[in-house]
Amino acid sequence: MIGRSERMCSAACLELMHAEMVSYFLSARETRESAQKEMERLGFRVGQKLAERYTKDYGRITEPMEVLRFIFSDFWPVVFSKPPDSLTTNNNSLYYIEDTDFRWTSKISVTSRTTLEDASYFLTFPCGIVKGAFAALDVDADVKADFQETPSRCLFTIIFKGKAIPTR
Amino acid sequence: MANFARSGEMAFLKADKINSEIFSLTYGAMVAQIMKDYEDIEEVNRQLDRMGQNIGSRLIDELFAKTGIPVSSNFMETAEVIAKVGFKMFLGITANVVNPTPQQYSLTFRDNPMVDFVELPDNCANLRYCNLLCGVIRGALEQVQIKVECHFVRDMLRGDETNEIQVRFLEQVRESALDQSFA
Amino acid sequence: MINCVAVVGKSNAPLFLKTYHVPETLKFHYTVHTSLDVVEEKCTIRAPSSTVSTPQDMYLGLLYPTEEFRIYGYITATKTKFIVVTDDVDVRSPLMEQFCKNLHTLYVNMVCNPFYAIEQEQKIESPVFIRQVEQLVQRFNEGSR
Repeated sequence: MIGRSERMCSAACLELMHAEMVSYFLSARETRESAQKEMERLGFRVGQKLAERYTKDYGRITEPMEVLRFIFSDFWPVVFSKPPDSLTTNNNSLYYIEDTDFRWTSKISVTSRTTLEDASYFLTFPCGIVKGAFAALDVDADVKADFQETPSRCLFTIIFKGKAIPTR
Repeated sequence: MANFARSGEMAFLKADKINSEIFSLTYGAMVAQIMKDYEDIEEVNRQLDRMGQNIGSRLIDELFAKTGIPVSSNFMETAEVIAKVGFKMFLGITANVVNPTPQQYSLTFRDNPMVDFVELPDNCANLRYCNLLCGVIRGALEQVQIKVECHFVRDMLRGDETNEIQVRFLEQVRESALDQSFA
Repeated sequence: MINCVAVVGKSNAPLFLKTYHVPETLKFHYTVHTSLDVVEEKCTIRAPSSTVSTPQDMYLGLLYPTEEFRIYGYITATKTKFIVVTDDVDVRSPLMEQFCKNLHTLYVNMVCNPFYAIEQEQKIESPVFIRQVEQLVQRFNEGSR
C-alpha cells in the first residue's frame, strides 16, 4: 500500500509553486491553449514518475479496472491530500471522479478580478498528473476537469480510449 | 534561539503536509522546462529567483500568522527566524546561521528535499538549481521592509560539502519606497 | 555470481545493460532479448488463488536456465522489466527477490530525477544509478559465495 513517505513538506510550498507555474506559462506562452498544453505535459511527466514510485510496494496491476481503483483509492489521496468523494460512470468508457474539496484549488477565491475561468487553469497540471499515472500503468485515458460552481468542488472526467473497461 | 526552533517545529507539526516528492518533482519539472525555454543559464537562475520572490512574499504572511512570532525589521534577527522557523515549517528542515553580522549572514544546510533524486546534466555548470530559495528569502524579507541580496555560494549538487546561501543587507525601505520599486 | 543486469522499458526498449566480471558480449544482449518472451508468458499467468483485484507479484523468479546461466525476471507495475543473469546453479530465491526489489528502489529514484525523460524511455546514463547497481551486485555476489 502507498502512504506517507518519510519526508514531508508543507502543502503551502506546493500550492505556491503551482501558482507560480500557472502564471509562468500564462505569461510566457502566446496562447492560453499552448500554456495549457504544456502544463498538462509537465503534469503528465510528474504523474508518470509518481506512479512509478507509488506502485513500487503496491504490486503489479494488470487489469484496467484495477488501475482505476488504484488511482482512485491509493494514488489520489496521497497526491491530492484527501480521498476523492465519489467515482461514478455512465457507460463503459466514461468515469467521473468527484472531489468536493479539491486541495489544489480550494484556496482560490473567485472575485470580480479572478473568474472561475481563470481558476480553471489550476486544473490543467493536476489533470496531467492523473493522465500520466494512467499512462504509466498502460491505460490510455484523457482526463478533464471542471469546477462545480466553486473552485473547491471539482468534477474530473476520465475518458478511456482504446478498449473499454467492463463495469462490474 | 531555542524558542525559534520550537516555534518552527510546532508550526510544521500543525501545517497541512504532503509527501515531499510531490513538491520536488513539480519543482524539478519546472526547472527543466525553464531550461528549455531559456538558453542562457543565468536567465534560468533569474527566473527561478523571481518565482521564489513571489512565493516568499506570501509564505512570510503564513509564517507570522501561524507562529505568532512578532514582526521584526532587524536584519540580524531575521537569520534565526528563517533558519529555524521558515525552513522548518515549509521544508521540514533546519539551517544553521553562520557568521552573522549587521551586514551579512550565511545559512547553511545539508538536507534538502528539493534535490532528492536530482542529478544535474553535464551542460549546466552555472545552474543554481535551488535558486528559488534565494528568491523566497528575498521576497519574504522585502515584506518586512528589508532589502537584501541573496545567492548560493556553496551547492552540494555541484560537489560542495554543504549548501550555503549568503544573505547581504542592502537597505531598510519605507513601505512607500518599496511600492515604488515595484512600479 | 551475477554476471549481467538489464533494465528494459515498457515497450521493450533496452534502457540499461551492464555485465560484471565478464566482457559485455553480444551473448548477453541476446539472452536478455530472448528472456522478454518468457516474461510476457509468465505475466499472463495469474496466481491460482488470486482474483482480478489482487495485485500480482512483481518478482517472476527463474525465467529459464541455459547451460551456462540462470535468468531471473522482475516486472514493475509500469511494465519495466529487470533481467538478471547469474552463473550460480543454486540461487536462493529470496535473495534474488530482494536483489530485484533493491534494484527497483534504485530505478524509481533514478526515474525521479527531473532531467530524466521518462516518456521517451531514455537510456539510463546516470552515474549514480550505475554505481549503485554495481554495489548491489557486489553485495549479492559476496553474499552468495
